Amino acid sequence: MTCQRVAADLPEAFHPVNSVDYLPRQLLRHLQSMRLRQTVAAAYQHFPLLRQRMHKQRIAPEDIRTIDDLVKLPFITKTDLTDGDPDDWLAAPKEKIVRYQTVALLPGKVFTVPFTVADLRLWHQLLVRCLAACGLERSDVVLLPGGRYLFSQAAMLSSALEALGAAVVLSPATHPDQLLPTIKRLGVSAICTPASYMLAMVEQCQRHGAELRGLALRMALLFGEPTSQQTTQRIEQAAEVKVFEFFGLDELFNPGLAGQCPVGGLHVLEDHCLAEIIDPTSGAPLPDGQSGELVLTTLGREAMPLVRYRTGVQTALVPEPCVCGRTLRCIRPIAQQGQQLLSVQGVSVWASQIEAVLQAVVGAVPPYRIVPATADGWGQVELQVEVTPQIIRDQVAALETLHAKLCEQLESAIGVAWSVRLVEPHTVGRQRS
Amino acid sequence: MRIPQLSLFIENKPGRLAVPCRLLAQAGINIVTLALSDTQHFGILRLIVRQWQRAKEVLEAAGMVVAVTEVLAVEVADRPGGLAELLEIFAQAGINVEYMYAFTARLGAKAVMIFRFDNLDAAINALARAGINPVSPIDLYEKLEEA
Repeated sequence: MTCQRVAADLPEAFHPVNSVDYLPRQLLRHLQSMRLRQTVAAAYQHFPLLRQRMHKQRIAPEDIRTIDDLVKLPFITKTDLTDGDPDDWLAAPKEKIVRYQTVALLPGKVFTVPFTVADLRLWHQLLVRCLAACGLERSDVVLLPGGRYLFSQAAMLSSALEALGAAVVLSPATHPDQLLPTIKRLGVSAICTPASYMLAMVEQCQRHGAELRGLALRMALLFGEPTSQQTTQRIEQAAEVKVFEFFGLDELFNPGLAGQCPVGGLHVLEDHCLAEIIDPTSGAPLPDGQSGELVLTTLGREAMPLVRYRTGVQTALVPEPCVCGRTLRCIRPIAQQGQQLLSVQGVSVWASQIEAVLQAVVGAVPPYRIVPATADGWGQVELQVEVTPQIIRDQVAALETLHAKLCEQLESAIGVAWSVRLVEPHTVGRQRS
Repeated sequence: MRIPQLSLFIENKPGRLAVPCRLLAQAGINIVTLALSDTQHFGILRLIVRQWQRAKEVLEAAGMVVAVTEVLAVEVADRPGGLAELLEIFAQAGINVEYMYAFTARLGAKAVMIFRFDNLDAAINALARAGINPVSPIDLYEKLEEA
Protein backbone atom coordinates (compact mmCIF):
# COMPACT_ATOMS: atom_id res chain seq x y z
CA MET A 1 0.00 0.00 0.00
CA THR A 2 1.22 3.45 -0.84
CA CYS A 3 0.39 4.94 2.51
CA GLN A 4 2.23 2.15 4.35
CA ARG A 5 5.28 2.67 2.21
CA VAL A 6 5.20 6.37 2.88
CA ALA A 7 4.72 5.71 6.57
CA ALA A 8 7.74 3.45 6.59
CA ASP A 9 9.87 6.01 4.77
CA LEU A 10 8.97 9.01 6.86
CA PRO A 11 7.98 8.59 10.48
CA GLU A 12 5.74 11.65 10.34
CA ALA A 13 4.31 10.87 6.93
CA PHE A 14 0.72 11.70 6.37
CA HIS A 15 -1.98 10.38 4.16
CA PRO A 16 -5.30 12.22 3.87
CA VAL A 17 -7.34 9.02 3.96
CA ASN A 18 -6.15 8.37 7.50
CA SER A 19 -7.04 11.88 8.61
CA VAL A 20 -10.07 13.31 10.33
CA ASP A 21 -11.05 14.74 6.93
CA TYR A 22 -13.06 11.57 6.29
CA LEU A 23 -14.45 10.97 9.77
CA PRO A 24 -18.16 10.05 9.70
CA ARG A 25 -20.26 13.07 10.79
CA GLN A 26 -21.54 11.32 13.90
CA LEU A 27 -18.03 10.65 15.16
CA LEU A 28 -16.90 14.15 14.18
CA ARG A 29 -19.78 15.59 16.20
CA HIS A 30 -18.65 13.60 19.21
CA LEU A 31 -15.10 14.82 18.84
CA GLN A 32 -16.25 18.41 18.37
CA SER A 33 -18.52 18.30 21.43
CA MET A 34 -15.75 16.91 23.59
CA ARG A 35 -13.28 19.57 22.41
CA LEU A 36 -15.89 22.30 22.76
CA ARG A 37 -16.34 21.45 26.44
CA GLN A 38 -12.58 21.81 26.93
CA THR A 39 -12.48 25.08 25.02
CA VAL A 40 -15.35 26.60 26.99
CA ALA A 41 -13.88 25.48 30.31
CA ALA A 42 -10.49 27.03 29.49
CA ALA A 43 -11.95 30.23 28.06
CA TYR A 44 -14.29 30.62 31.04
CA GLN A 45 -11.47 30.11 33.48
CA HIS A 46 -9.04 32.55 31.88
CA PHE A 47 -11.00 35.25 30.07
CA PRO A 48 -12.66 37.71 32.50
CA LEU A 49 -14.82 39.36 29.84
CA LEU A 50 -16.28 36.05 28.67
CA ARG A 51 -16.87 34.95 32.27
CA GLN A 52 -18.69 38.18 32.97
CA ARG A 53 -20.90 37.78 29.89
CA MET A 54 -21.69 34.17 30.69
CA HIS A 55 -22.66 35.15 34.25
CA LYS A 56 -24.91 37.85 32.89
CA GLN A 57 -26.65 35.35 30.60
CA ARG A 58 -26.72 32.80 33.46
CA ILE A 59 -24.74 30.21 31.57
CA ALA A 60 -22.25 27.96 33.27
CA PRO A 61 -19.55 26.06 31.35
CA GLU A 62 -21.38 22.85 32.38
CA ASP A 63 -24.41 23.97 30.37
CA ILE A 64 -22.42 23.42 27.20
CA ARG A 65 -22.59 19.69 26.57
CA THR A 66 -22.68 19.31 22.80
CA ILE A 67 -22.10 21.52 19.79
CA ASP A 68 -25.86 22.19 19.73
CA ASP A 69 -25.38 24.24 22.90
CA LEU A 70 -22.94 26.56 21.14
CA VAL A 71 -25.65 29.13 20.32
CA LYS A 72 -26.17 29.77 24.05
CA LEU A 73 -22.70 31.30 24.33
CA PRO A 74 -21.96 35.02 23.93
CA PHE A 75 -19.84 36.29 21.03
CA ILE A 76 -16.27 37.57 21.18
CA THR A 77 -15.53 40.45 18.81
CA LYS A 78 -12.37 41.99 17.41
CA THR A 79 -12.95 45.04 19.60
CA ASP A 80 -13.12 42.77 22.68
CA LEU A 81 -9.64 41.50 21.80
CA THR A 82 -8.04 44.85 20.95
CA ASP A 83 -9.56 46.91 23.76
CA GLY A 84 -8.68 44.58 26.60
CA ASP A 85 -5.37 43.85 28.24
CA PRO A 86 -3.66 41.15 26.12
CA ASP A 87 -3.20 39.11 29.31
CA ASP A 88 -6.98 38.93 29.62
CA TRP A 89 -6.96 36.80 26.49
CA LEU A 90 -4.25 34.42 27.58
CA ALA A 91 -5.26 30.94 28.70
CA ALA A 92 -1.78 29.52 29.21
CA PRO A 93 1.02 30.53 31.58
CA LYS A 94 3.35 33.07 29.96
CA GLU A 95 6.31 30.68 30.20
CA LYS A 96 4.51 28.37 27.80
CA ILE A 97 4.18 31.01 25.08
CA VAL A 98 6.80 30.51 22.40
CA ARG A 99 5.50 32.85 19.73
CA TYR A 100 3.52 36.04 19.39
CA GLN A 101 2.05 37.15 16.11
CA THR A 102 1.01 40.77 15.84
CA VAL A 103 -2.06 41.44 13.78
CA ALA A 104 -3.86 44.68 12.92
CA LEU A 105 -7.34 43.43 13.80
CA LEU A 106 -8.89 46.84 13.26
CA PRO A 107 -7.46 49.98 11.63
CA GLY A 108 -4.65 51.17 13.88
CA LYS A 109 -5.43 48.54 16.56
CA VAL A 110 -2.82 45.85 16.93
CA PHE A 111 -3.34 42.64 18.84
CA THR A 112 -0.67 40.09 19.72
CA VAL A 113 -1.77 36.50 19.25
CA PRO A 114 -0.02 34.02 21.57
CA PHE A 115 1.03 30.50 20.54
CA THR A 116 2.29 27.64 22.70
CA VAL A 117 4.37 24.78 21.36
CA ALA A 118 1.17 22.74 21.18
CA ASP A 119 -0.53 25.51 19.16
CA LEU A 120 2.32 25.59 16.65
CA ARG A 121 2.24 21.82 16.37
CA LEU A 122 -1.50 21.94 15.77
CA TRP A 123 -1.04 24.64 13.13
CA HIS A 124 1.57 22.47 11.44
CA GLN A 125 -0.83 19.49 11.37
CA LEU A 126 -3.65 21.61 9.97
CA LEU A 127 -1.39 22.90 7.19
CA VAL A 128 -0.23 19.40 6.34
CA ARG A 129 -3.87 18.38 5.96
CA CYS A 130 -4.70 21.42 3.81
CA LEU A 131 -1.74 20.77 1.54
CA ALA A 132 -2.42 17.05 1.28
CA ALA A 133 -6.03 17.80 0.37
CA CYS A 134 -4.81 19.53 -2.82
CA GLY A 135 -3.16 16.33 -3.93
CA LEU A 136 0.40 17.43 -3.22
CA GLU A 137 2.77 14.52 -2.96
CA ARG A 138 6.40 13.57 -2.46
CA SER A 139 7.34 14.17 -6.07
CA ASP A 140 6.19 17.80 -5.92
CA VAL A 141 8.62 20.69 -5.93
CA VAL A 142 7.05 23.76 -4.33
CA LEU A 143 8.37 27.29 -4.72
CA LEU A 144 7.75 29.89 -2.03
CA PRO A 145 8.78 33.17 -3.63
CA GLY A 146 9.46 36.44 -1.91
CA GLY A 147 10.42 35.28 1.54
CA ARG A 148 10.34 38.73 3.03
CA TYR A 149 6.63 39.16 2.44
CA LEU A 150 5.55 35.93 3.95
CA PHE A 151 6.86 36.17 7.52
CA SER A 152 5.79 33.30 9.74
CA GLN A 153 3.63 31.84 7.02
CA ALA A 154 6.63 30.89 4.89
CA ALA A 155 8.21 28.98 7.76
CA MET A 156 4.99 27.18 8.69
CA LEU A 157 4.15 26.32 5.09
CA SER A 158 7.61 25.08 4.25
CA SER A 159 7.76 22.81 7.29
CA ALA A 160 4.31 21.42 6.45
CA LEU A 161 5.37 20.82 2.84
CA GLU A 162 8.54 19.10 3.98
CA ALA A 163 6.52 16.91 6.34
CA LEU A 164 4.50 15.81 3.33
CA GLY A 165 7.73 14.84 1.65
CA ALA A 166 7.55 17.54 -1.04
CA ALA A 167 10.66 19.54 -1.88
CA VAL A 168 10.49 23.19 -0.91
CA VAL A 169 12.29 25.87 -2.89
CA LEU A 170 12.84 28.99 -0.80
CA SER A 171 13.79 32.10 -2.69
CA PRO A 172 14.05 35.71 -1.68
CA ALA A 173 13.36 36.66 -5.30
CA THR A 174 9.93 37.80 -6.40
CA HIS A 175 10.53 38.80 -10.00
CA PRO A 176 9.73 36.16 -12.63
CA ASP A 177 12.98 36.93 -14.49
CA GLN A 178 14.87 35.75 -11.44
CA LEU A 179 12.49 32.91 -10.61
CA LEU A 180 11.91 31.36 -14.03
CA PRO A 181 15.36 29.76 -14.39
CA THR A 182 14.85 28.11 -10.98
CA ILE A 183 11.34 27.00 -11.91
CA LYS A 184 12.68 25.38 -15.08
CA ARG A 185 15.84 23.87 -13.59
CA LEU A 186 14.14 22.24 -10.61
CA GLY A 187 10.91 21.36 -12.40
CA VAL A 188 8.85 23.35 -9.90
CA SER A 189 5.34 21.88 -9.87
CA ALA A 190 3.61 24.27 -7.47
CA ILE A 191 3.94 27.89 -6.37
CA CYS A 192 2.76 28.78 -2.90
CA THR A 193 2.13 32.52 -2.48
CA PRO A 194 -0.54 35.16 -1.80
CA ALA A 195 -2.96 35.59 -4.70
CA SER A 196 -1.89 39.12 -5.59
CA TYR A 197 1.71 37.96 -6.07
CA MET A 198 0.74 35.04 -8.22
CA LEU A 199 -1.36 37.38 -10.33
CA ALA A 200 1.43 39.94 -10.58
CA MET A 201 3.83 37.17 -11.59
CA VAL A 202 1.49 35.94 -14.31
CA GLU A 203 1.06 39.49 -15.61
CA GLN A 204 4.76 40.22 -15.57
CA CYS A 205 5.50 37.05 -17.46
CA GLN A 206 2.97 38.05 -20.09
CA ARG A 207 4.49 41.51 -20.45
CA HIS A 208 8.01 40.12 -20.78
CA GLY A 209 6.89 37.44 -23.20
CA ALA A 210 7.93 34.75 -20.71
CA GLU A 211 5.87 31.59 -20.71
CA LEU A 212 4.61 29.83 -17.59
CA ARG A 213 2.68 27.31 -19.65
CA GLY A 214 4.24 24.08 -20.85
CA LEU A 215 6.39 23.78 -17.73
CA ALA A 216 6.09 21.23 -14.95
CA LEU A 217 4.01 23.78 -13.04
CA ARG A 218 0.59 22.32 -12.16
CA MET A 219 -0.64 24.06 -9.02
CA ALA A 220 -0.88 27.50 -7.46
CA LEU A 221 -1.43 27.36 -3.71
CA LEU A 222 -2.82 30.72 -2.69
CA PHE A 223 -3.17 32.03 0.82
CA GLY A 224 -3.25 35.18 2.89
CA GLU A 225 -5.96 37.15 1.11
CA PRO A 226 -9.38 36.64 -0.44
CA THR A 227 -9.13 35.64 -4.09
CA SER A 228 -11.75 36.73 -6.58
CA GLN A 229 -13.08 34.31 -9.16
CA GLN A 230 -11.62 36.44 -11.97
CA THR A 231 -8.17 36.32 -10.38
CA THR A 232 -8.39 32.55 -10.07
CA GLN A 233 -9.46 32.16 -13.68
CA ARG A 234 -6.78 34.53 -14.91
CA ILE A 235 -4.05 32.60 -13.08
CA GLU A 236 -5.38 29.22 -14.15
CA GLN A 237 -5.50 30.21 -17.81
CA ALA A 238 -2.25 32.14 -18.04
CA ALA A 239 -0.10 29.63 -16.17
CA GLU A 240 -2.00 26.39 -16.96
CA VAL A 241 -2.24 25.53 -13.30
CA LYS A 242 -5.02 24.61 -10.91
CA VAL A 243 -5.56 27.15 -8.15
CA PHE A 244 -6.02 25.95 -4.58
CA GLU A 245 -7.08 28.45 -2.01
CA PHE A 246 -6.31 28.36 1.70
CA PHE A 247 -8.29 30.34 4.19
CA GLY A 248 -7.09 31.57 7.53
CA LEU A 249 -7.12 34.44 9.96
CA ASP A 250 -4.04 35.88 11.64
CA GLU A 251 -5.75 35.81 15.02
CA LEU A 252 -6.39 32.04 14.69
CA PHE A 253 -4.25 30.32 12.08
CA ASN A 254 -3.41 31.88 8.74
CA PRO A 255 -3.57 29.87 6.62
CA GLY A 256 -4.88 26.69 8.22
CA LEU A 257 -8.61 27.11 8.88
CA ALA A 258 -9.92 25.87 5.55
CA GLY A 259 -8.42 24.50 2.36
CA GLN A 260 -9.62 23.58 -1.11
CA CYS A 261 -9.90 20.02 -2.36
CA PRO A 262 -9.42 19.07 -6.05
CA VAL A 263 -13.21 19.32 -6.55
CA GLY A 264 -13.05 22.93 -5.43
CA GLY A 265 -14.75 22.74 -2.04
CA LEU A 266 -13.26 25.03 0.58
CA HIS A 267 -13.31 22.59 3.52
CA VAL A 268 -13.28 23.97 7.04
CA LEU A 269 -11.07 21.88 9.32
CA GLU A 270 -14.08 21.40 11.55
CA ASP A 271 -12.45 19.16 14.09
CA HIS A 272 -10.36 22.17 15.15
CA CYS A 273 -12.52 25.07 14.18
CA LEU A 274 -16.28 25.12 14.58
CA ALA A 275 -17.98 27.28 11.98
CA GLU A 276 -21.33 29.07 12.25
CA ILE A 277 -22.94 31.66 10.01
CA ILE A 278 -24.89 34.42 11.70
CA ASP A 279 -26.91 37.43 10.70
CA PRO A 280 -24.38 40.22 11.32
CA THR A 281 -27.08 42.59 12.58
CA SER A 282 -29.18 40.40 14.87
CA GLY A 283 -26.55 37.80 15.72
CA ALA A 284 -29.08 35.05 14.98
CA PRO A 285 -27.73 31.83 13.44
CA LEU A 286 -28.50 31.45 9.74
CA PRO A 287 -29.37 28.17 8.00
CA ASP A 288 -26.83 26.48 5.70
CA GLY A 289 -26.58 28.05 2.29
CA GLN A 290 -27.48 31.51 3.51
CA SER A 291 -24.79 34.18 3.40
CA GLY A 292 -23.78 35.93 6.62
CA GLU A 293 -20.89 36.52 8.98
CA LEU A 294 -18.57 33.63 9.75
CA VAL A 295 -18.26 32.90 13.47
CA LEU A 296 -15.54 30.52 14.60
CA THR A 297 -14.89 28.59 17.79
CA THR A 298 -11.44 27.09 18.21
CA LEU A 299 -11.26 23.46 19.27
CA GLY A 300 -7.87 22.59 20.65
CA ARG A 301 -6.15 25.95 20.74
CA GLU A 302 -4.15 26.19 23.97
CA ALA A 303 -2.93 29.79 24.39
CA MET A 304 -6.06 31.53 23.12
CA PRO A 305 -9.17 29.35 22.93
CA LEU A 306 -11.83 31.53 21.34
CA VAL A 307 -15.54 30.96 21.68
CA ARG A 308 -17.90 32.26 18.99
CA TYR A 309 -15.40 34.70 17.56
CA ARG A 310 -16.96 37.10 15.06
CA THR A 311 -14.55 37.10 12.13
CA GLY A 312 -16.09 39.85 10.00
CA VAL A 313 -15.74 37.47 7.05
CA GLN A 314 -18.75 37.11 4.81
CA THR A 315 -19.52 33.64 3.50
CA ALA A 316 -22.05 30.79 3.69
CA LEU A 317 -21.89 27.14 4.67
CA VAL A 318 -22.45 24.84 1.71
CA PRO A 319 -25.41 22.59 2.58
CA GLU A 320 -24.41 19.61 0.41
CA PRO A 321 -21.54 17.27 1.26
CA CYS A 322 -18.57 17.59 -1.10
CA VAL A 323 -18.21 14.90 -3.73
CA CYS A 324 -14.52 14.50 -2.88
CA GLY A 325 -15.60 12.32 0.02
CA ARG A 326 -14.35 14.53 2.85
CA THR A 327 -16.99 14.83 5.51
CA LEU A 328 -15.78 18.30 6.52
CA ARG A 329 -18.24 20.95 5.48
CA CYS A 330 -17.34 23.64 2.92
CA ILE A 331 -17.73 27.38 3.01
CA ARG A 332 -18.30 29.51 -0.08
CA PRO A 333 -15.31 31.41 -1.47
CA ILE A 334 -14.51 34.47 0.57
CA ALA A 335 -14.88 37.68 -1.37
CA GLN A 336 -14.15 40.26 1.27
CA GLN A 337 -13.19 40.37 4.91
CA GLY A 338 -15.31 43.02 6.56
CA GLN A 339 -14.09 46.56 6.00
CA GLN A 340 -10.68 45.23 5.07
CA LEU A 341 -10.16 45.95 1.39
CA LEU A 342 -7.14 43.90 0.64
CA SER A 343 -3.72 42.85 1.71
CA VAL A 344 -0.90 44.78 0.06
CA GLN A 345 2.54 43.24 0.32
CA GLY A 346 1.30 41.36 3.35
CA VAL A 347 -0.08 44.48 5.02
CA SER A 348 -3.80 44.73 5.70
CA VAL A 349 -5.46 47.77 4.21
CA TRP A 350 -8.82 49.12 5.34
CA ALA A 351 -11.13 51.47 3.53
CA SER A 352 -11.17 53.69 6.60
CA GLN A 353 -7.39 54.19 6.44
CA ILE A 354 -7.51 55.28 2.82
CA GLU A 355 -10.48 57.49 3.52
CA ALA A 356 -8.69 59.13 6.46
CA VAL A 357 -5.75 60.04 4.20
CA LEU A 358 -8.06 61.39 1.51
CA GLN A 359 -9.92 63.42 4.11
CA ALA A 360 -6.67 64.85 5.46
CA VAL A 361 -5.18 65.74 2.08
CA VAL A 362 -8.23 66.63 0.01
CA GLY A 363 -10.64 67.67 2.74
CA ALA A 364 -13.22 65.19 1.45
CA VAL A 365 -13.44 61.58 0.33
CA PRO A 366 -13.75 61.57 -3.46
CA PRO A 367 -14.78 58.35 -5.23
CA TYR A 368 -11.78 56.04 -5.37
CA ARG A 369 -10.81 52.56 -6.47
CA ILE A 370 -7.93 50.23 -5.71
CA VAL A 371 -6.38 48.39 -8.60
CA PRO A 372 -4.01 45.68 -7.36
CA ALA A 373 -0.83 44.63 -9.11
CA THR A 374 -0.72 47.04 -12.01
CA ALA A 375 1.82 47.53 -14.72
CA ASP A 376 3.76 49.84 -12.41
CA GLY A 377 5.76 47.03 -10.96
CA TRP A 378 5.80 44.05 -8.70
CA GLY A 379 3.01 44.11 -6.19
CA GLN A 380 2.60 47.87 -6.53
CA VAL A 381 -0.97 48.82 -5.86
CA GLU A 382 -2.64 51.73 -7.56
CA LEU A 383 -5.16 53.99 -5.91
CA GLN A 384 -7.30 55.80 -8.44
CA VAL A 385 -8.89 58.99 -7.15
CA GLU A 386 -11.49 60.94 -9.07
CA VAL A 387 -10.86 64.65 -9.55
CA THR A 388 -13.73 66.40 -7.78
CA PRO A 389 -14.47 70.11 -7.21
CA GLN A 390 -12.30 69.86 -4.06
CA ILE A 391 -9.37 68.59 -6.10
CA ILE A 392 -9.55 70.45 -9.41
CA ARG A 393 -7.04 73.28 -9.84
CA ASP A 394 -6.03 75.36 -12.83
CA GLN A 395 -2.37 74.79 -12.05
CA VAL A 396 -0.57 71.57 -12.83
CA ALA A 397 1.89 72.14 -10.00
CA ALA A 398 -0.94 72.32 -7.45
CA LEU A 399 -2.30 68.96 -8.59
CA GLU A 400 1.15 67.45 -8.57
CA THR A 401 1.70 68.65 -5.01
CA LEU A 402 -1.60 67.09 -3.98
CA HIS A 403 -0.63 63.87 -5.75
CA ALA A 404 2.74 63.75 -3.98
CA LYS A 405 1.06 64.39 -0.63
CA LEU A 406 -1.37 61.53 -1.19
CA CYS A 407 1.46 59.12 -2.03
CA GLU A 408 3.48 60.19 0.97
CA GLN A 409 0.64 60.05 3.50
CA LEU A 410 -0.67 56.71 2.22
CA GLU A 411 2.76 55.22 2.60
CA SER A 412 3.19 56.54 6.12
CA ALA A 413 -0.35 55.57 7.19
CA ILE A 414 -0.36 52.07 5.73
CA GLY A 415 3.30 51.21 5.51
CA VAL A 416 3.65 50.26 1.86
CA ALA A 417 4.41 52.32 -1.22
CA TRP A 418 1.42 53.25 -3.36
CA SER A 419 1.03 54.56 -6.81
CA VAL A 420 -1.72 57.14 -6.98
CA ARG A 421 -3.47 58.14 -10.18
CA LEU A 422 -5.84 61.06 -10.53
CA VAL A 423 -8.66 60.12 -12.87
CA GLU A 424 -11.54 61.96 -14.51
CA PRO A 425 -14.85 62.24 -12.65
CA HIS A 426 -17.28 59.32 -12.89
CA THR A 427 -14.67 56.86 -14.06
CA VAL A 428 -14.58 54.77 -10.89
CA GLY A 429 -17.64 53.47 -9.10
CA ARG A 430 -17.78 54.74 -5.54
CA GLN A 431 -16.01 52.10 -3.53
CA ARG A 432 -18.02 52.62 -0.40
CA SER A 433 -20.57 55.21 0.47
CA MET B 1 -11.01 93.64 -16.44
CA ARG B 2 -10.79 90.28 -14.73
CA ILE B 3 -11.58 87.45 -17.10
CA PRO B 4 -13.08 84.19 -15.89
CA GLN B 5 -11.17 81.18 -17.11
CA LEU B 6 -12.51 77.61 -16.97
CA SER B 7 -10.14 74.76 -16.09
CA LEU B 8 -10.87 71.09 -16.74
CA PHE B 9 -9.06 67.97 -15.62
CA ILE B 10 -8.32 65.63 -18.51
CA GLU B 11 -6.63 62.25 -18.43
CA ASN B 12 -3.75 61.78 -20.80
CA LYS B 13 -5.56 59.37 -23.11
CA PRO B 14 -6.48 59.55 -26.78
CA GLY B 15 -9.75 61.32 -27.46
CA ARG B 16 -10.18 62.91 -24.05
CA LEU B 17 -9.50 66.46 -25.22
CA ALA B 18 -12.17 66.24 -27.90
CA VAL B 19 -14.94 65.61 -25.36
CA PRO B 20 -15.27 69.10 -23.83
CA CYS B 21 -14.70 70.75 -27.21
CA ARG B 22 -17.52 68.73 -28.73
CA LEU B 23 -19.84 69.53 -25.82
CA LEU B 24 -19.26 73.26 -26.19
CA ALA B 25 -19.70 73.07 -29.97
CA GLN B 26 -23.03 71.29 -29.53
CA ALA B 27 -24.16 74.06 -27.17
CA GLY B 28 -23.11 76.67 -29.73
CA ILE B 29 -20.42 78.10 -27.48
CA ASN B 30 -17.36 79.48 -29.20
CA ILE B 31 -13.99 78.95 -27.55
CA VAL B 32 -12.17 82.29 -27.62
CA THR B 33 -8.87 80.71 -26.75
CA LEU B 34 -7.52 77.69 -24.90
CA ALA B 35 -4.32 76.29 -23.50
CA LEU B 36 -3.40 72.79 -22.41
CA SER B 37 -0.84 72.04 -19.76
CA ASP B 38 0.10 68.42 -19.33
CA THR B 39 2.10 65.87 -17.36
CA GLN B 40 2.71 62.20 -18.04
CA HIS B 41 -0.69 61.14 -16.72
CA PHE B 42 -3.01 64.10 -16.92
CA GLY B 43 -3.55 67.53 -18.36
CA ILE B 44 -5.42 70.69 -17.46
CA LEU B 45 -7.40 72.33 -20.20
CA ARG B 46 -7.93 76.07 -19.73
CA LEU B 47 -10.66 77.74 -21.70
CA ILE B 48 -11.70 81.32 -22.28
CA VAL B 49 -15.27 81.53 -23.52
CA ARG B 50 -17.64 84.43 -23.59
CA GLN B 51 -20.61 82.65 -22.01
CA TRP B 52 -18.49 81.10 -19.30
CA GLN B 53 -21.40 80.42 -16.91
CA ARG B 54 -23.35 78.54 -19.54
CA ALA B 55 -20.21 76.72 -20.67
CA LYS B 56 -19.61 75.66 -17.07
CA GLU B 57 -23.19 74.39 -16.79
CA VAL B 58 -22.90 72.44 -20.03
CA LEU B 59 -19.62 70.81 -18.99
CA GLU B 60 -20.81 70.06 -15.47
CA ALA B 61 -24.06 68.59 -16.77
CA ALA B 62 -21.89 66.17 -18.74
CA GLY B 63 -20.19 65.13 -15.50
CA MET B 64 -17.01 67.19 -15.83
CA VAL B 65 -15.47 69.09 -12.95
CA VAL B 66 -14.73 72.73 -13.71
CA ALA B 67 -12.65 75.26 -11.79
CA VAL B 68 -13.17 78.98 -12.40
CA THR B 69 -10.15 81.23 -12.03
CA GLU B 70 -9.74 84.91 -12.76
CA VAL B 71 -7.02 85.84 -15.21
CA LEU B 72 -5.93 89.06 -16.94
CA ALA B 73 -5.74 89.73 -20.65
CA VAL B 74 -2.98 92.21 -21.46
CA GLU B 75 -2.04 93.74 -24.78
CA VAL B 76 1.54 93.24 -25.82
CA ALA B 77 3.28 95.29 -28.49
CA ASP B 78 3.91 92.94 -31.41
CA ARG B 79 7.62 93.72 -31.79
CA PRO B 80 10.88 92.32 -30.39
CA GLY B 81 11.03 93.02 -26.66
CA GLY B 82 7.30 93.69 -26.30
CA LEU B 83 6.69 90.82 -23.92
CA ALA B 84 9.98 91.35 -22.08
CA GLU B 85 8.97 94.94 -21.19
CA LEU B 86 5.68 93.74 -19.80
CA LEU B 87 7.24 90.93 -17.77
CA GLU B 88 9.75 93.42 -16.37
CA ILE B 89 6.85 95.29 -14.73
CA PHE B 90 5.76 92.16 -12.86
CA ALA B 91 9.30 91.19 -11.96
CA GLN B 92 9.97 94.58 -10.38
CA ALA B 93 6.74 94.43 -8.40
CA GLY B 94 7.69 90.96 -7.17
CA ILE B 95 4.63 89.34 -8.77
CA ASN B 96 4.81 85.75 -9.85
CA VAL B 97 3.32 84.72 -13.20
CA GLU B 98 1.85 81.26 -12.62
CA TYR B 99 1.37 80.67 -16.32
CA MET B 100 0.48 82.55 -19.48
CA TYR B 101 -0.69 81.85 -22.98
CA ALA B 102 -1.39 83.84 -26.10
CA PHE B 103 -4.40 84.51 -28.31
CA THR B 104 -4.19 83.46 -31.88
CA ALA B 105 -6.04 86.60 -33.00
CA ARG B 106 -4.75 90.13 -32.53
CA LEU B 107 -6.34 93.34 -31.35
CA GLY B 108 -5.22 95.86 -33.97
CA ALA B 109 -1.43 95.96 -34.04
CA LYS B 110 -1.14 94.28 -30.69
CA ALA B 111 -1.02 90.70 -29.50
CA VAL B 112 -3.03 89.68 -26.46
CA MET B 113 -1.72 87.44 -23.72
CA ILE B 114 -3.57 85.78 -20.85
CA PHE B 115 -1.79 85.88 -17.49
CA ARG B 116 -2.49 83.92 -14.33
CA PHE B 117 -0.87 85.56 -11.28
CA ASP B 118 -0.41 84.36 -7.73
CA ASN B 119 -1.62 87.81 -6.64
CA LEU B 120 -4.11 89.25 -9.09
CA ASP B 121 -4.74 92.57 -7.26
CA ALA B 122 -1.03 93.32 -7.02
CA ALA B 123 -0.67 92.63 -10.73
CA ILE B 124 -3.52 95.01 -11.60
CA ASN B 125 -1.94 97.73 -9.44
CA ALA B 126 1.49 97.22 -10.95
CA LEU B 127 0.04 97.50 -14.45
CA ALA B 128 -1.90 100.65 -13.48
CA ARG B 129 1.29 102.25 -12.16
CA ALA B 130 2.94 101.49 -15.50
CA GLY B 131 -0.05 103.07 -17.29
CA ILE B 132 -1.32 99.81 -18.72
CA ASN B 133 -4.97 98.82 -18.64
CA PRO B 134 -5.75 95.14 -19.02
CA VAL B 135 -8.24 94.36 -21.78
CA SER B 136 -11.79 94.29 -20.43
CA PRO B 137 -13.79 91.10 -21.00
CA ILE B 138 -16.27 92.94 -23.21
CA ASP B 139 -13.58 94.43 -25.42
CA LEU B 140 -11.84 91.12 -25.55
CA TYR B 141 -14.81 89.05 -26.67
CA GLU B 142 -16.24 91.67 -29.02
CA LYS B 143 -13.06 92.67 -30.74
CA LEU B 144 -11.87 89.13 -31.06
CA GLU B 145 -15.17 88.01 -32.49
CA GLU B 146 -15.15 90.92 -34.97
CA ALA B 147 -11.66 90.06 -36.07
